[in-house]
Amino acid sequence: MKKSDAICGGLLFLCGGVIYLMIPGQIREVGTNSVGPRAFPTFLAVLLMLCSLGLAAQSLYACRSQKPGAAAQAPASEKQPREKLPGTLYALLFYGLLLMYAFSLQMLGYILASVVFLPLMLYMLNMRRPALYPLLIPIILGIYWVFQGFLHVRLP
Amino acid sequence: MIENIWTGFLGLLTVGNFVFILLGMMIGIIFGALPGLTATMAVALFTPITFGMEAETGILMLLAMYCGATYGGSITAILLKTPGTPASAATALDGYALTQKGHAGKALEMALYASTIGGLASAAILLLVAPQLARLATAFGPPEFFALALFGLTIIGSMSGDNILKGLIMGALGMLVSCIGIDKITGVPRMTFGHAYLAGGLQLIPVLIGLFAIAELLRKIEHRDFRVEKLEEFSSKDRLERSEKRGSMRTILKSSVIGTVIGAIPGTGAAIASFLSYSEAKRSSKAPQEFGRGSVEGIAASEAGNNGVTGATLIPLLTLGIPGDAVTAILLGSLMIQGIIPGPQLFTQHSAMVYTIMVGLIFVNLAMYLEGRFLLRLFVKITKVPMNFMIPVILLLCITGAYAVNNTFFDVVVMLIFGIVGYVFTRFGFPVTPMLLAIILGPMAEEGMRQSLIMSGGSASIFFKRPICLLFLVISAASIAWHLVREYLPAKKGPEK
Repeated sequence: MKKSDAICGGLLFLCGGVIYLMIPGQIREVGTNSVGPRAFPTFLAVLLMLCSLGLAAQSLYACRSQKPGAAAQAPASEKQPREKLPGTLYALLFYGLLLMYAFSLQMLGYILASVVFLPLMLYMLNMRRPALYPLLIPIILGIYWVFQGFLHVRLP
Repeated sequence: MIENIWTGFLGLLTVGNFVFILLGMMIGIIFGALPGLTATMAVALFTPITFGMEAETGILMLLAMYCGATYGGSITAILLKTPGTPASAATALDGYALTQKGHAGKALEMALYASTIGGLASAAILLLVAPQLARLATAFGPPEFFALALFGLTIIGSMSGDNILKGLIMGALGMLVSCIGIDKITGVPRMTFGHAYLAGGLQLIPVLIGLFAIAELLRKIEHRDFRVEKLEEFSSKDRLERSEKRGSMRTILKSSVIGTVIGAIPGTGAAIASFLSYSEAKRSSKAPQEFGRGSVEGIAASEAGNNGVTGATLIPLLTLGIPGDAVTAILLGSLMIQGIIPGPQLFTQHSAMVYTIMVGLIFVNLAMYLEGRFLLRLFVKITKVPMNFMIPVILLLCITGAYAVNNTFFDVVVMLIFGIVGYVFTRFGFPVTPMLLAIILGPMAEEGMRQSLIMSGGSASIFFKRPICLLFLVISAASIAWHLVREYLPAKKGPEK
């Protein structure tokens, strides 16, 4: 059990609460039947709140029950998140590039957007073998043909 | 029944079916062999391609991918001690040891041999058991379907990850996602925020590509694990002896049965079957000391066990409409997109198609043997492709596949949202499989619950008066209680020491 579980539990509890409060505004109740369209989402929002509260409580209890020795080890484990953070940032930066690629599909079209952004992704992933970059073009064209030509799916 | 099997066999005999089975098998073996790529990812990525095909052709292609990926994991497990899929982790124990002794060819041959027999046994049991279970399930009414959906969700939630509360949270979130759209019973829009695209609910394919492909790729990028391992060479002259094949047959058959039983239970999967088969084989072996040091029997047990799951996992899917794991959840989505609803009525309304799929699974395993036998060196070469080259190509397929669902950019946005959601959740130890299953089973659970309460005039006692319904509810409650107790008790004992 980690402290992050308690934080996640708290955040999810808030999320459940927001959903619970949102339901009356988003779902119109109809008929006199007690089990209308709001019943299931309301039940789920309450379940979410209860489970996330339970997770937070479980995590806090486990953290308090840790022996002093385990607490002394905490600084070492706290170091790991700092080492992992650059990896997370790197993944999020890559995700940002992926978002740019996705949104450029409508402006530039499928082939042009892919020809521009896929090599950028490859470079960002530390691919330093230039011979592999041109291989992307037949792959892009091949996938385009499979979907547009063979499966008759209209691509941007 | 013989007549149905014959009809299924005749339905299988088209060029398209065989071409796509072979193609799917090849893709599956490659995905399985490449560490970091999984059967789930392969099936999720290529599901959009099946939209333009006949339902049985598409499903057979996806099944071939599933079986191929389950076997393909053994290739790098044996040559690199790096299992391509979790289901081949047990194979790596003895497979790599044999490779180090210069018998990689023998290990690879046993992996293929055992996988094929395990898969065939599983397909045969599916063919015999599924129709009988479907007949039982025709007695199910709305209360039973509600209890069944709840059973599927709690079992999956309890088996995914080490914390039942996290599984339940993901299940609740998944079911909330499934509520988005127009309510089927009253026609009222729910949580659409006035957005026309949300009126139809969220499409399953973009959600699962996001959760299982995008999220997984982001995790690989986070760890920057792009190295290419040097594979050991192997000789095609290094073959199994007849005595070794005969000696392992008992283990293979026993492991196939273990795999089939495990596969039929929702929430388990090939990895559990593989390890259970391995440990049972070691326990009952005449030479247990050889396990872990290059025992062909160990490889046989692991591979027969994991491929024994492939056919059995279709039993709850086809007969009850309950997916047993992420792959069958995707297959369920593929069938639903084709307008086919799995469940007991499937065997009456689409009998020919169902039997074509079940008979086709036998040919899928034969195709696996053929491709494994003659194309192994090609698959080994492909595993040398750097992962940082594969990632952009897979992302291209993800985006294209998500767009292909409805030809709308909105589905690409949904995929990207669920990709980051899946990444963040898995980073904090939340399993994503319960979320996907909840998105699929949520409508069944809600519809069953509301129809039951309408039938009973609002009284919840209807769920407790029907024996099958009560049984599923009791098992669901017991599963949750057991996991809560199991998680709580060790923590309580700790401080007392």
